Amino acid sequence: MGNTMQKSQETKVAELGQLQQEEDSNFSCEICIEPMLSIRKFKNGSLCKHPFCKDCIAKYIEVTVEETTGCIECPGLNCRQLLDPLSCRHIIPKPIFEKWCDRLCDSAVLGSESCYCPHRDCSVLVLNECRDKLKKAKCPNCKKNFCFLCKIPWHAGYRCNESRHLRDSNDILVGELIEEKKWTRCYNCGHSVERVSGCRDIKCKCGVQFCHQCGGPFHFGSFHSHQVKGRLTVAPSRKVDSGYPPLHVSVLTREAGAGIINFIKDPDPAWFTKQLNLISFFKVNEAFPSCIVT
Amino acid sequence: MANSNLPRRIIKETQRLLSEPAPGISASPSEDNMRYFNVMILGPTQSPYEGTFVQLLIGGVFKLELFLPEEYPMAAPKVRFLTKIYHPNIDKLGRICLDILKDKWSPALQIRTVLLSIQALLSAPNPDDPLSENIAKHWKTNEAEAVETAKEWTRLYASGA
Repeated sequence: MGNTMQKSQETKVAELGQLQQEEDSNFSCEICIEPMLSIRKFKNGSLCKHPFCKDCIAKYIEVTVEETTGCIECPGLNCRQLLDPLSCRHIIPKPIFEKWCDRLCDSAVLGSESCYCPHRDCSVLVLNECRDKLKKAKCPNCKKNFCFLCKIPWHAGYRCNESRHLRDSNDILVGELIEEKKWTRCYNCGHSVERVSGCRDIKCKCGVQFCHQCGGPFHFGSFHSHQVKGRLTVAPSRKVDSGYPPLHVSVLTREAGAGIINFIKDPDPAWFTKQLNLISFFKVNEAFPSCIVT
Repeated sequence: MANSNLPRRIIKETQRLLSEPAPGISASPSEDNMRYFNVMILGPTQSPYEGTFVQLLIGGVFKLELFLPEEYPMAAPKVRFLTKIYHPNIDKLGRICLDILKDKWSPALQIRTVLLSIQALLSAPNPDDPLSENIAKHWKTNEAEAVETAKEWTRLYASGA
């Protein structure tokens, strides 16, 4: 085994000579510590300019993409910049790039509240973009109502905590009537009350006072925050003309057994980019039509 | 053979470690395995880990082992103290709690920078992020006494022999 050391020292000497020849090239990669021609230098968009060669960055992405949520930091010491997927796309193999996109997309969807449309013929992934608590929601795809909280078709006239009770078709019809007539059911006894005029403070015949707007106990002067309208975005029915490239959500939808679908039919780009800081992500997918399923 | 196909980066780093060693640090590869380094770090001055002067500097020499895994430099080197040391971020097996050896590793770091960081950790123990709960507790409740114990251990174990 002692020979090994000798041999490697010889190689070292030989390599040292070789290195000195190369010394006049343009930069030294901080990962492989090799002198490099500037043509081999990786450029991270306009984000940062740490000296790494393209091969090392490609290797780094390949190793790191497994462990991150999609945000890969520049390996430069004390550099907080993220690698720009678009700048890296041409130096990494396509499967790695697709995996990276998947990771970015996962983290994007996990960041916001989401639910699958409970109507079986639809089952698209729906995102809640308004960060309020949301109950009654209309699926932007099948246009049917469902409860975002219970994740079941809309339980008209009934509250979430009652929604799981078995009800026959008459109960459902009554529920729909209650909703249509804008009656409110007392939180205590469940009796429906129609408000013809006057304030929202209802004294029920069971003795409690309840708010006609929400059906809960009466509350003076406080806001009805539950009345805030939600904004929903949806996965499928790709609209090429919407101007926004669909996102690639293969991992999530694979779990749901639906294959690859697109979501965000018509996102508010300002909100989305601000919220998720994924400006480049849109570009990535735009440039990657293989992700799109019609 | 462990040494065949040794990446050029490791060869270059080794050369530089041998030709321009960092102050207070020596690292040399094992003859059998060029990925395995025997390391010695001098306890920094003004720290409980420094040696004592009796005409010469005596003690305060900490032995470590450093191993470069197959994935290096994409994965961090594995470093461990072989010398017993009383430090809140080093456990009794010699394992070191240092971010750059874990999640903050970057392939732009090198053996030299890792060893310098470990040396710096000796100067600045961080009992708020402990590996040895008992030592950290000692450090927080009675720092003077903990420092005395660290000095005692340095005298007892870090002779460099």
